[in-house]
Amino acid sequence: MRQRTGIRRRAVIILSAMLALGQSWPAAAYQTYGVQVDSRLAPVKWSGLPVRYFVADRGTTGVTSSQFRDAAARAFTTWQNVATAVVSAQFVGFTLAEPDEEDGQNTMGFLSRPDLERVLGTTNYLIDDTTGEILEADIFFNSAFQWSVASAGESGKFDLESIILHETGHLFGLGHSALGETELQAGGGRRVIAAEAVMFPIAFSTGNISDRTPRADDIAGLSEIYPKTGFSSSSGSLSGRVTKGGQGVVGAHVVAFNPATGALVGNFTLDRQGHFTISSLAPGPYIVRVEPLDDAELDSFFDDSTISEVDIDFRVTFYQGFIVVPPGGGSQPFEVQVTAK
Amino acid sequence: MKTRTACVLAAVVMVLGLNDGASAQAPAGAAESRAAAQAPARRISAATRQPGRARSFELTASVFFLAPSSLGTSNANLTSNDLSGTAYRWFSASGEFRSAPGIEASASYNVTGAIAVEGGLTYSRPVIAFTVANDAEGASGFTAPGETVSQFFFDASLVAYLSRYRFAGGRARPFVEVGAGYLRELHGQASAASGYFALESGQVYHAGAGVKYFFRPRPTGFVKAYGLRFDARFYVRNGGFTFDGSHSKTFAAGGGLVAAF
Repeated sequence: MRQRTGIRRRAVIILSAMLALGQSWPAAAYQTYGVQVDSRLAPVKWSGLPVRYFVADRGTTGVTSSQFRDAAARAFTTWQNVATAVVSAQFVGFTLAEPDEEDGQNTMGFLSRPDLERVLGTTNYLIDDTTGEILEADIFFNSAFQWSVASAGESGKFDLESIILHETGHLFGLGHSALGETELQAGGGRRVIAAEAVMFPIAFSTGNISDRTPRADDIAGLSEIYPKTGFSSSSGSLSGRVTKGGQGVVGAHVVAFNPATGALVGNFTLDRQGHFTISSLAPGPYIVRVEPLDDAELDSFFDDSTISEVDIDFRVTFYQGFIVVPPGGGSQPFEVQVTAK
Repeated sequence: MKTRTACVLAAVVMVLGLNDGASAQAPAGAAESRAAAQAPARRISAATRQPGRARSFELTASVFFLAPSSLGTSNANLTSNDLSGTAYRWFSASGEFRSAPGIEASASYNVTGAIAVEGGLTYSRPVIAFTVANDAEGASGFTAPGETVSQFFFDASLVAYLSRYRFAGGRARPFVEVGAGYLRELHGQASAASGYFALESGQVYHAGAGVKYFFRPRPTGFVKAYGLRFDARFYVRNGGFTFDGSHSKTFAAGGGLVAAF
């Protein structure tokens, strides 16, 4: 992440969000991105829709640029079909530009980056840090890997549509989700055991096409940034604190489980008092589970200045009661007390 | 246990009522001509003041106990990273309505001497308890009260009196009933500031049986007779809050006072 000033008379920052193969790169991501504007956190989002995008006129082994365009169109359509959000995108055409150039146009396509041996794709933003408005977003997909656009997936190849769905989630302003379980691999990195968010920072294995479908966590995030008319009054939020020994816990992963629907939506404690809020929830009672962030690299979720404060030394803890989320409002604040491992 | 306690209490009340009525009056359920013959000096017009007669009304106020009922089990599933797409159980949660007292008010219209239609409102505040288990990362399982729910049944019933099984000199009239209605559940107050409630709704169906026992008809007045009523019902809820979308089932039993008009 780096910061500049004076471009287009506005300060801009460049954020990167990567989908990793077992390892993550620095990113400033929460459930949704935000930039500090005075005393408030402005959401990173597009101010105008549809997002107009180009596709690099360059394929890779087994995927033509036209097939890439079609996979991208399917991924954008998937986001557009989220019933509680309003987003849209428009394919402009093919381009010879690289998908990592700061050129005022949104470009996605393949780049060969064998040096990024665990990175499948990256989204780079140009953001007005006085408003949070996204000015430009480019996405590259690492052609050092094998890719597939087969409808049922292909063994030994990553599903392009799934990874585009993840990266275009970033393009719309979504950060990484921590809803997943992983295991350390002998050769380094992590292998996903299971996940319940397209925006989980580590991809499913080759041949798996499960991430073509957004989950409740993804939908909640998108709906928070781009809510459909009336969604705010029909959904609610829960909020509280996570504490350990009376002190707030930074970086705890808090998950709300709706037992009536099975929906899982998560977020993090984001300050030294251990405060968290989970928004865009269907009204009803929820079970709340708090866990340390130990299934991905911390820099998948927090910037360098915050990582040193993140506490992962505590046991998985449930709040021992329901939290009722009302329509159009917030729950009563509650506190989850965790203990050290 | 509470359900059994309620049954016993209701039975005791009925016995007391039987004793009271038997020593003081002719059998209320006897044929009209016979009732007139046994009490010629009283100003009772048995044909018009007899409870349960055709085209008459009754109002009932009852207390009852709802038995515990399962709300099912819901797994918090993640999508497994294998090509089968099977679910990976992160943890599981199950719930139940704990037993709870409630109150009921109902109005009956006796279409004939054997058939009545009834509309009622029942209100209870059961606690939803939930159990968390099988956490994939070893968190301890536990059972805890989740919240208290305000539960309303607005239902209509068809009541059939079993005339041939009358007892206590004809004053005690057994009946069977079936009904259906609207279920409304209000979850606990979510925000003291906003006063918001989360709402669930659905349908409720019931079948049951009971007994009405009327004391001696009053010679004058708008209320023609008072009595006692005992009900035992089996409820099936369709909709409302559950952990797995299943139909939750429960028993309820109770008793109360009934006034005949």
